[in-house]
Amino acid sequence: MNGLALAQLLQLLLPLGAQVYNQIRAANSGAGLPDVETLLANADKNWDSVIAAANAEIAKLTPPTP
Amino acid sequence: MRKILALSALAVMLCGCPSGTQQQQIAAAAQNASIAVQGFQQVEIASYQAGAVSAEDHKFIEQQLVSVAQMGKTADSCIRTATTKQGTIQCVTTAIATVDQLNASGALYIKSADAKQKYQIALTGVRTALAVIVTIEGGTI
Repeated sequence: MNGLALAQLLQLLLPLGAQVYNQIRAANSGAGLPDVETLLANADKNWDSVIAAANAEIAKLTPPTP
Repeated sequence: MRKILALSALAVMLCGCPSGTQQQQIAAAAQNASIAVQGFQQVEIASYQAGAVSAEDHKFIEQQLVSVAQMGKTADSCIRTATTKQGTIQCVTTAIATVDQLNASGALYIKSADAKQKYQIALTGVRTALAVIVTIEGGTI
């Protein structure tokens, strides 16, 4: 199964799986990849987003200190 | 849910070799790792909100994701400053060792078999994306 066929299958069956797949596919296709610094800056932005979301979830489950 | 994560990991593997210069391919693979983790985190939070993951496992997994993301940022910074292929391979090898360690601690700590499997699939996706970089540079894991 090629990438496009898989993406189409995912879109039909698994919306979130398709979303992740499409994000990765979009990041790696097109006329040309962005420059190295843009790609790494995007990666850092994604990591920062993961850290912020994780810390928000952890804070919800951590009792406030008296 | 398990299928989504498995397919996300598969997506990383299938899309892990983009066109472009070698440095662009490496940076794109680093970006792929971050996208895979973001996707997993969204699934994990939704699973917790739906009651499929315990609060204890959820908190542990999110704490681990902070470590994964910090590892990712460190790897990105290392890749930026590496001046040789060997240097880049070293950056990624260190990151992969961290992923393996986090995967092992998840296997020991996470109680829910389902959550444990999701977590391990996600980290396997990250590991695969990083391993692509080593392959691009002609190294082996």
